[in-house]
Amino acid sequence: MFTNNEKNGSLDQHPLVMIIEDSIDQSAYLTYILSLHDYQVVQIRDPQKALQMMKGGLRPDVLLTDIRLPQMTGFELMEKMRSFEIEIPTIIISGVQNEQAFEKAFVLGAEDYFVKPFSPLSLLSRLQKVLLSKVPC
Amino acid sequence: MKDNVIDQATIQGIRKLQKPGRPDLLKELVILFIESSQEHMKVLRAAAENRDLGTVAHIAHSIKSSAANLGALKLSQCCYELEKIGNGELRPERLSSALHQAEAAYQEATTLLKTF
Repeated sequence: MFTNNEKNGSLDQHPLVMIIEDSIDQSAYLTYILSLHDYQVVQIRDPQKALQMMKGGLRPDVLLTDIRLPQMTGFELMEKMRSFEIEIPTIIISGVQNEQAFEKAFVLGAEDYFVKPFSPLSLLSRLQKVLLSKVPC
Repeated sequence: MKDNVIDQATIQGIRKLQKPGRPDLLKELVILFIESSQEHMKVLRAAAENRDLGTVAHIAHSIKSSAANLGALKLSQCCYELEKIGNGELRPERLSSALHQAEAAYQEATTLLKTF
């Protein structure tokens, strides 16, 4: 199975980002910024649905997920992804700001943790670094 | 410009993302915010009047984040207070005055945002 980025061994012009966020406003805000910067975006509110889509074969290049979500938390989603051997670089975007959450994100292998509100420029920069690190040598 | 109403650093941060020849990102984000927040503010008022604290917390949380994205810090802070009232972290007697403050902050913020 190939992700968008691994198809041609170079950074895809339109990497696919999956946003899992229950706030429609927040999701729309991120989508607008990412689309302007040539990302393809899938917005999903329900992490259970996101998991089903990934189990069905969808492999976004990067996952942006909130922690507080309906049905399951972002951390639980990451745990389930791991149990199904779904490896997608994941960046947490959350209003939750405490050491316990930062540690959990680190243990689960999150690429980064952005506390809302965050600089969109920082997020774009981090996304680019994550995507470049995925490109096969 | 009152920085607490609209944080200029946040606005500059968004402007830095602008790409030549593309739609005005800041204007588009302001339109997006105003379109959704108008409805949210109505729902917030209705929920407060009905003492539906769960909805107050939920909607206030949403406006808090989207307002902060555009640097509307005062509005975001007011919504944070409403969220805490909704969650039971602050006394419910403060609901009415917190709502008035949020509505005033909303008017201030949107008036300024529309000038960008």
